Amino acid sequence: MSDTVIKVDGVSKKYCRSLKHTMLYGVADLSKSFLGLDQQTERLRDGEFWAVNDVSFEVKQGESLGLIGLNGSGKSTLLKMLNGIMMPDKGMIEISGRVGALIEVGAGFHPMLTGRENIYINGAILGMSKKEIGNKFDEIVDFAGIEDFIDSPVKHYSSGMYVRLGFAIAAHAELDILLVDEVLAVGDADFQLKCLTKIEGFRRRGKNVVIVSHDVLVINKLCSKVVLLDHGTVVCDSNTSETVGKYFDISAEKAASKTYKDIGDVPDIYNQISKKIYFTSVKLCDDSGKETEIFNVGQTIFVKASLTKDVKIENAVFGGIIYSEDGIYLGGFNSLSMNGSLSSCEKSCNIEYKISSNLLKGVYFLTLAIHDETGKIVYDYHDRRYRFIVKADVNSLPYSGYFKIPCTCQYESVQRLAK
Amino acid sequence: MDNQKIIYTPEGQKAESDSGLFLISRQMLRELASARWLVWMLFLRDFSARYRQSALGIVWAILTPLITVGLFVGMSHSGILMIQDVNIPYPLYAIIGLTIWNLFTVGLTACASSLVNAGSMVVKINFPKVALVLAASWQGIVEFLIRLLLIAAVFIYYGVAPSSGGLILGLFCVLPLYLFMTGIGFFMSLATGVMRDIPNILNIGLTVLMLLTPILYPITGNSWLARANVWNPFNYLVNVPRDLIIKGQTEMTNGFVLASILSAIAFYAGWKLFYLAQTKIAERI
Repeated sequence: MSDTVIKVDGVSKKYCRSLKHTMLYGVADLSKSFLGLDQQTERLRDGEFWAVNDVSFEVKQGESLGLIGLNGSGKSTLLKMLNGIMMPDKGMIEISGRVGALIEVGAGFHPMLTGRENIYINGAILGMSKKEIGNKFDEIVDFAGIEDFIDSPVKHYSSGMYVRLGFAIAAHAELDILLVDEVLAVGDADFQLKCLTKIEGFRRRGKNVVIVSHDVLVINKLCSKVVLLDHGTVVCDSNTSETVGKYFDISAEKAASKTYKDIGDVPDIYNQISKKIYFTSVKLCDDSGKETEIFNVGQTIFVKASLTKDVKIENAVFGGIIYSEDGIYLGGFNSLSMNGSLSSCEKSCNIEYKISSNLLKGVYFLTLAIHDETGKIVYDYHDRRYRFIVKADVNSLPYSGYFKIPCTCQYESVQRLAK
Repeated sequence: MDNQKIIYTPEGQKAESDSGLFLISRQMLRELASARWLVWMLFLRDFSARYRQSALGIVWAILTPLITVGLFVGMSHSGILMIQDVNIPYPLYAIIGLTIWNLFTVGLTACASSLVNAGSMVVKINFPKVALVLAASWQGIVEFLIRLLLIAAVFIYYGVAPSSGGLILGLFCVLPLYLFMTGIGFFMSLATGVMRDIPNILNIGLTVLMLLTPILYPITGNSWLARANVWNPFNYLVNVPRDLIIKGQTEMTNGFVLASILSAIAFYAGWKLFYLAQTKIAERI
């Protein structure tokens, strides 16, 4: 027996754009397959496109594979084909061993039935035998942490309990290959860690894991090999650090192709916005004063804003917040601790923020705001309207968090004291 | 532990060693064998979920035929409807007929929506979907069994006894109707996956079919309807079991045998279509 566990060979899958075509082609395909006619799956019909296009890769025994790509790159479709939920329209997939998926946990729960009943039913759906579920029952309940609720209907569960139970069942099936699709995005930090540990343990036992995720840290931690998909095709199939680096390039490229005008106005969550003072223009510039969106690690970011003042306001605070691409609040700054006052400012003026960032490679969003000293009255608020990209510097790893943390090491030799 | 290599191709799923005669039929049987426990679990799920939060629970299964038959008894008493003599108390005749017929309608309605109701599961988990339809088809059987209690009560009420030998044979002869229902159910569950109008069409169609078939009243003579019913398989599938239960004999043996063969073909064809189409339908739901 060869040690190739998963072999994906020239696999393609087409999707319809419109519901009308879905219905029409659905009827046509079903009739053809029943009558045994040639389905001509290899041709695109009107309104169809290749969601996955000529993808090939192999996974060897004990390897764990990460599938990454931007939204709509075809990675979830590919995972569904690996799971046998959908058949490819072209090509072939060969899989040795029992496959199970953590695609959407809790699918198939019946809200009226108790946790206990749902464990048995869901286990059966996932292909576990009665004996297998019986043996693992306590372990499942314990992992999900729902001992007290095991005999209540699952519709009374919190959404966290629901997901935990679903994951617990799926994670306790006897599998050779585990397919994981973004499930780790749910649950609290504690549970996420538990899941990662479970997946890691599975991997340590020499089983195979295929993970679809946006979370580069998860991919980095769990995968020995990563395939990067873009628009349905394989862009990079290599070791983790190389593929993840390429992924960053693609997402930065995509970010760069958009300007902040595309993002548009943010819904008016700050309804007290008075617009007594407001930004009329905002530019991100580098140290030479040139407008840009792309900065190097460690390069100072100049934000040049013009603003207009409609009434006489003496004291206003200028603030900003930086978010990561995945929406994490990284930190903020404001002019409270700085010198300078608005009183010298006539109807309109310019201000310049100088951000000495130590942000690492990635895509970031900047929020700018003007408010009073208490922060209760907001004059203007541009929520995540400005995007900038930090390019990798030669020394940095392709993935290494958000900040460069200054650190020095000192060596000191320890002298043994002679007795 | 089977470490059999599974291969997915545009034609469907197969194991590496699969080849030879009747391959698809063997694959279908293998899938069915592996899904036995799942069918049972899904059936239990549907059954308990259905009756858990309703005040009258399984009483509904008895109440609905009582109301329908009550309506027909009322109409015939008031002279709106002329129902010819059926040799036994009419309500008994009607309730037995309706109970057998309902095995078909309840089961078929449940089958038709089984795949779509399980939508999120079908799209996200790989399991033998045949189990969904089979579990749904059993709902027809369960209601049939519950209604047998009603029939027993009506027999006692009128002081009439069923034919002793025909009773068991009659119940056994409901089997072709079950196979017919499940076969069409397989087909309808797929059709509902593509077109959500199917359950509505079914509701109307089944009511019309019930009124055109001799279920609640005999249709005899030389009318066009009576002549058309010679070709109506439901005429045999419902009336033969009823005749056997009441009289212990039937004059429709030939028609029943033909209708049973048709039922077996429908079952196999529906199942095969479902087996071939289940992966295609997963992406359309």
